[in-house]
Amino acid sequence: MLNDITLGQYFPGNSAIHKLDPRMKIIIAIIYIAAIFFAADIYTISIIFIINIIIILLSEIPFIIMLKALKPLIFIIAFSFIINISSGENLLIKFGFVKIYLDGLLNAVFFVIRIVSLVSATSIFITFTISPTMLTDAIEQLLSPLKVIKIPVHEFALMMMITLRMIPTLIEETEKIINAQKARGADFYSGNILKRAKALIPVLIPLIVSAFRRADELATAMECRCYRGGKGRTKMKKLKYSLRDLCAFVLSVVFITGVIILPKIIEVKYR
Amino acid sequence: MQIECRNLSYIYGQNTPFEKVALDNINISIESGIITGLIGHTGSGKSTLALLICGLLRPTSGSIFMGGEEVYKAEKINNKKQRGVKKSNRKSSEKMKFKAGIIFQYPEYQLFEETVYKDIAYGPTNMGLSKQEIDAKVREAAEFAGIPENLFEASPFELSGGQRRRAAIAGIIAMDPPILILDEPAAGLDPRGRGEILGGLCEYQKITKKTMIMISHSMEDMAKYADKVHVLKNAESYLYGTVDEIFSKADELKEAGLDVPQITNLFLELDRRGLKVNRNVYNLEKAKDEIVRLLGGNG
Repeated sequence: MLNDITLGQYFPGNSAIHKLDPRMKIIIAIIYIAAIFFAADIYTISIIFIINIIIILLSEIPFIIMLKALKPLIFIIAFSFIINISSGENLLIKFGFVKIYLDGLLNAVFFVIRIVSLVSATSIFITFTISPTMLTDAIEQLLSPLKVIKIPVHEFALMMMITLRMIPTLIEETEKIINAQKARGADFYSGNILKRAKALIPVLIPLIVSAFRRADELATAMECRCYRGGKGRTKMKKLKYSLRDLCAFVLSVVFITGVIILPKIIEVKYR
Repeated sequence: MQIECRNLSYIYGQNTPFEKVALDNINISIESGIITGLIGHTGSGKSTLALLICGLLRPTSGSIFMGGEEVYKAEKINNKKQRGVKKSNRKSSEKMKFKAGIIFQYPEYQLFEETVYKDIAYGPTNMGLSKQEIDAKVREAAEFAGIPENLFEASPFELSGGQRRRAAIAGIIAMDPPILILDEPAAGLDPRGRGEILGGLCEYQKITKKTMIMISHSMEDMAKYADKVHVLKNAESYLYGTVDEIFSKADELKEAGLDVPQITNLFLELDRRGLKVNRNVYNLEKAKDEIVRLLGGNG
């Protein structure tokens, strides 16, 4: 029952997006998100949507997987769509008490595109194309200026890495404990909420105990190998910016400037 | 209690890209009242079979009979009748509950109660027994597992590693299941601890005449404790027979990625080098007799 949890859904690949430096991808993702929020009308957001589709195609991630990533959002999308179409001025269609307005419909499309673009772009730039190790590395380096004000950036990155590393191990451990307690007659599926919550105690206590045990073992192992934090530590795989990254950065800057400026120019001209 | 598996299959993650056949249409019967060994290479399906017999997994297809009674029918993929089938399934897996107890690897990780006594009593309490019955079962199980009474009120987390494992084993014995499955409960112990845990459990089997299934990677343990042995290979049943029969088929075992006990290897090597020896020597006792025979003496 825990098999459904997929974490760090990294899809190894060799696409144009995959080849970008992970630090650059995080920066681009931030620029892209900003652009989505700057887009204030349906035309701009449509252009963003087309670019979004181009990015998905560039990343070579199958559309089905993209749709799966959007699945949890279906309620939010449906909710904002329904709220939006039933308000506005120009009445379009009327079925009994259900009223659909023209500008409401446009608003609804606008919000749906905004949500879909937000989620798909961040998934493409961050979760799907950066492996967890690269991600922690990239975050550590992007935040490294904060070291000046004595924030232990390396330690945070390490914590993040260990957390990601331990999740599958703990899931496996949980499955084992659940099986062992089920064999002793534990019943997790019947009774009221209180009873079910109580039935989880035989799973949670051994799990917490084992998490502490593992933490202790890991700390000992690290100490044995003379780990003493980030100072003076070298990397096996050094991240390097290339021409490709520069191009991507310039493109995204041009993109956001366009999104901010173009509607204003058009507005001035036609008024 | 006799166990019979008919056309039993189990597939992990069916209809996903990660689909893996763990058991492929196997027919196995496990005799009542003896110790049946279950050996096989890693990934041959031993542990899956154990989980199926315990009712912790539902077979993809096929059925399991216990004591002549069908305890579980595979989930039929028939949309119209699905609801009805599911209901009866739940009942039958309920029937299965408490028939088979299983001791996993590192059983001490399942301890959770405040005191050892309470932890051993967890299983019997779930069975809905009365207080006197629970008390009797707990004391009996603790005695078998070698937990002295003065430890009853201690926290299981205060015990030493060996004691913790014994307490966990007592927790399963206390449920007094007619079938007991050992999934390498002696893993990670030194030879002496191994002998104590496995020897103790087998002695318990001799006294109670329970049906016991023993999963192990150690051929020496198999030779020492098991009466009959099932060999699994690539999700299929490969060999079955008494310990004597199985360990005389060294070539087939090697085919399945397994080995014979060290001592058997020694005698096989002697045979290969031209000495006329019995190829079927798998424990010290037999080895001694064989050497005495070879030397031409009477002991």
